Amino acid sequence: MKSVLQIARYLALKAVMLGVTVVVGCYLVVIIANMGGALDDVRRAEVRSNVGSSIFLDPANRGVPATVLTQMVDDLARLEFERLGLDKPFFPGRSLEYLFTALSLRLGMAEQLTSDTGSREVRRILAERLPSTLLLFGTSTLLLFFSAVRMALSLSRRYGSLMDRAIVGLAPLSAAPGWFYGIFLILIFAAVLRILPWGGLVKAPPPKEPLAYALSVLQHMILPLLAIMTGGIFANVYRWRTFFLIYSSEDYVELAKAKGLSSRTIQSRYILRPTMPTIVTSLALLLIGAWQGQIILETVFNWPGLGRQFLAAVNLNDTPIILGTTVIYGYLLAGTLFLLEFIYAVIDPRVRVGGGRR
Amino acid sequence: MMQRGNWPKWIVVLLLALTVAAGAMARTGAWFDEVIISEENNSGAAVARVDAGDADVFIFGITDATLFAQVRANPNLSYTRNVGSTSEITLNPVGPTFPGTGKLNPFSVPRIREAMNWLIDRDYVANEIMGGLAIPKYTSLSAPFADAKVRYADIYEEIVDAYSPDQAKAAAIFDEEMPKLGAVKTDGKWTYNGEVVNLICLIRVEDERRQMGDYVAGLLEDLGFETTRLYRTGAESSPIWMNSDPALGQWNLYTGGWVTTAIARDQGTNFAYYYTKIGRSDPLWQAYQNEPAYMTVAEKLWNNDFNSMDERRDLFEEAMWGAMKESQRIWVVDRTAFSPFIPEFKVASDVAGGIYGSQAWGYTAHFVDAAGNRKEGGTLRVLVNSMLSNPWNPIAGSNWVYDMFPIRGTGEYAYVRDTRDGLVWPVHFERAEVFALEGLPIGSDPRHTWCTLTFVPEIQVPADTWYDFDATTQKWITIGEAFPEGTTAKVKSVIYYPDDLYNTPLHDGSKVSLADIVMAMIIQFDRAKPESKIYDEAAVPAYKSYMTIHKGYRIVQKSPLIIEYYSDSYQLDAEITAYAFGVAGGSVVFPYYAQGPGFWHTLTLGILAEEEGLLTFSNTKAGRLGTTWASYIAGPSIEILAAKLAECKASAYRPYLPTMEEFLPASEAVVRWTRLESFYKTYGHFWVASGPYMLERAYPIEKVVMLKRFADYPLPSETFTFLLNPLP
Repeated sequence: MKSVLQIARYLALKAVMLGVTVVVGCYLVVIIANMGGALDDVRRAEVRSNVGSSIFLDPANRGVPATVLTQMVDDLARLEFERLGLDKPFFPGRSLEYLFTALSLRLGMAEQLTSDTGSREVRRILAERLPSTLLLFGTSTLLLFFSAVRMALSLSRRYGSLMDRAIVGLAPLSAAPGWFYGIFLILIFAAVLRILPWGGLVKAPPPKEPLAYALSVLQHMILPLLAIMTGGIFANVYRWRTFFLIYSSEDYVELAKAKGLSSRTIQSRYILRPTMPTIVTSLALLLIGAWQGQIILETVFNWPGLGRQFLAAVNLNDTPIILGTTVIYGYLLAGTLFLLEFIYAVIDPRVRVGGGRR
Repeated sequence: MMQRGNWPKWIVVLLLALTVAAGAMARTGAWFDEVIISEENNSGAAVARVDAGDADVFIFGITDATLFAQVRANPNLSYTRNVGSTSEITLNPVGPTFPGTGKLNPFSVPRIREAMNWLIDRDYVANEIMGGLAIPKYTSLSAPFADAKVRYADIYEEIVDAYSPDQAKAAAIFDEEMPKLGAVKTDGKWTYNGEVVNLICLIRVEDERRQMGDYVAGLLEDLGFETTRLYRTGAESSPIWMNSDPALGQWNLYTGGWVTTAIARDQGTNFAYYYTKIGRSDPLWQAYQNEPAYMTVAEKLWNNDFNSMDERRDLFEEAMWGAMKESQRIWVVDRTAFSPFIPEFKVASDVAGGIYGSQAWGYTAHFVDAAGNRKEGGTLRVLVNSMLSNPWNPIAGSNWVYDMFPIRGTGEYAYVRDTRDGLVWPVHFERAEVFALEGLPIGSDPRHTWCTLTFVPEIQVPADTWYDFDATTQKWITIGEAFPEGTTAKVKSVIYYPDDLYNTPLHDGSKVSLADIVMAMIIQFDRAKPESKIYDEAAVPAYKSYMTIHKGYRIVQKSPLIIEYYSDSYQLDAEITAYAFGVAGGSVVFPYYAQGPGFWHTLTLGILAEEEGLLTFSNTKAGRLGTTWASYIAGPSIEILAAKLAECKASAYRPYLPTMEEFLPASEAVVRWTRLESFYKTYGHFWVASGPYMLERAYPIEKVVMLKRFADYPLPSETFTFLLNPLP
């Protein structure tokens, strides 16, 4: 009974800490995204500038008295200020409104951007970009992760082999990001060889048959996937291989080898199992990282993902979208960290939730 | 049997028959069978894709000089150029010292500002900094437009000669004027009150204005000033230069820019807009102090307060030279942009708006064969840098310039704007008679025989003319009711529509009716009335402005349709005055609204949805109500519009019945709803128009728009190909 209470108290404390971190993190995003409220002056100036130009430079207003035009600018600017909330002070009201709308996951309405299908709801804006984002970055994350772990395990048993030395030698290639390789891949496979598409989600016009559509999407995923893999595989393999090497030289592994256990058994029981918490943590964090997409890679491949949407929101100072993206990531991260507490306990017998003693 | 002696006659008959048959089969509407528009946000990649045969044209106006050099050197590529924007140096006129800082501001002296014209080498900026994608600019008038290019080309040339670069002259003026301000030159540096005079240069960083700003700052340093260079984006800089009091002394010069997307036929307002308090209410403009003589001419040109084109010329001459003396702005270059395409592609590209801004692209775009003959059919693959970023609806939908490209291909105004000079050619009316008060400076172009101009001593507006709309009773308020004592107008335009106007087909199989035109007249007033169910506060300012010049519409005859339009507003060209009637620049001569084509039945769906708060036409109202901005092409709006369609079809609904009953028979409503339902079932959207292309489908997430040729379009494809030729 005591240990249950202890666990509950620990979990509650953990949840509160994570919750507070999310709240503080989101409020910081609100403040930073709005330059501590100073952005209001910039936005008011932009509104007045745009409205003024559209009215005074419109030939259709020829003959309308200047006083009427000035009034027209004032009226339209006032309406836009009201729409954007610029008629109210940023602190504390608007900043807290942003925060609570986001934290409640209502997310509210975007101020500048619309969803691809024309909605201003932040939820819909994010939801529309989510499938293509998860498709590309979820796939690439899983592919990259499992292939790297698999190769690393193999190399950890062949330390000093030709392949091992090759991977070590190639690891610096990962210093360049995936989009960098993407540019070259486009040049080679789209511009010169003309066997793969330049970018986009699907060919134009999009096929009407679902199967043909899916195949076209897969075809369009090849180059970005290849770019991500090229940019990440060597360093990942190198990192995991080094990690596994450390565990491979533990005394209990040496003892298992001396006992004549098979390589497969050693790998699964004596290397993988104790390293499982690290592997699971890494995978979980990589997967939730896929939520945010990759801004430059999406731009290079014209991929309609959340990364480009986020960039557009930053460029247009669309706080609800910036915050919506952030708060969901925050919740995913907090939730993942919370869940990992349990997962560690399941996969690693040395771990006890709440720090209980054996 | 043909008799031997008659064979020449039979051959003539045969040839005639063939000619008639060929004529009967002549292609109508669009040259292409389909157009596929997709997104490519990288200009370099777009050029490579066109070069590689992956696309036929990239319609974005590119300003990258390196890419331009590549395209020019590539025999596989052609290009068209357009005037995209203007770069200038805005000078802070406050002084001689800034009250905010006590620092000296040399640009408070008009003569020093004028000297900046000699200091800056515009050719250097155009050729070296802008890489040849610019034209040196000396006045606020755009060199390719009518005022600078045709009407006052001689004055413009004189100014170019007078203000050609002369840095020694500029330096001499600085040396002459600075001591008058109390400045002293010590060791080659200008000092004031013991401190070196520092000029704050606010430099935009998004384009070559960064280099231009550095160049000008460098010239000023050579003259003995210190400079502080503030590199800022547009958003960061506008609170400083435009919205803050210039007396605070936060800046001395700013690298400004202005965008041009349409050919301006009359640039007379420039002299007040860019140089005087009249121009804008922002603090910088309110700081302008002008010579009284300049202010007088600028104000006259702003108000069109002159009686003839000769008088206008005199005012322009005075204003053009006067503006150089005022020089609150130093005009540097008209920037040009280019759009690359394959050599087989031909299109009427707009001098100002390029391909994306061409209102005539849908009529004129085609391929040619090796012999230069026009090809019929085929697919045009278009790349655009950004698209479908906002919902499309005709009233207040997307105004994104690249969305307007497909929108213009599907819809049409009553006229086509000439891509070469900005005048117009009628599409849905035959001719126009313009009556103007004697003494008004209006002229007409003899090539445009469809328009006649007559000067009259007075234009009395008939009492039964529709003046305003009563949103409560849903009936017109006539001139007789609004002005019991009667009223006059400055211009009247009588539009004569063709006999077959009511046979004009729409994309859903319906035909244009008078109800469509009356609806266009109603909506522009109704949305601005608080008692209306579709009241939108955002529509009020434009309505109020319009009512200061509007005098009414009068249907003279229903078939063939003749409508009189009365106004106190006019343009210098009778051809433009003829059709320019409508709130916020819209035209009610044919139902094309501010953001696209709309017909009474499609608009009714949006109106009913807005009445219930399910959708709104404007973004502003959507934001205020927290509801959805209406999209006629995709997204959650479609289901709502479809539900309204079902209701309308069930009840054979007719909008604004107290007024529309006269123009909209119940039978027409039944036909329209049935055809719209069929159209929706086929295409899944409500973008019904009358243009040469119809929207087959928009793919908002994939960023693809599919247009297909509207087979029933009545006008021959050759109708507007003359726009491809240079002006005579």
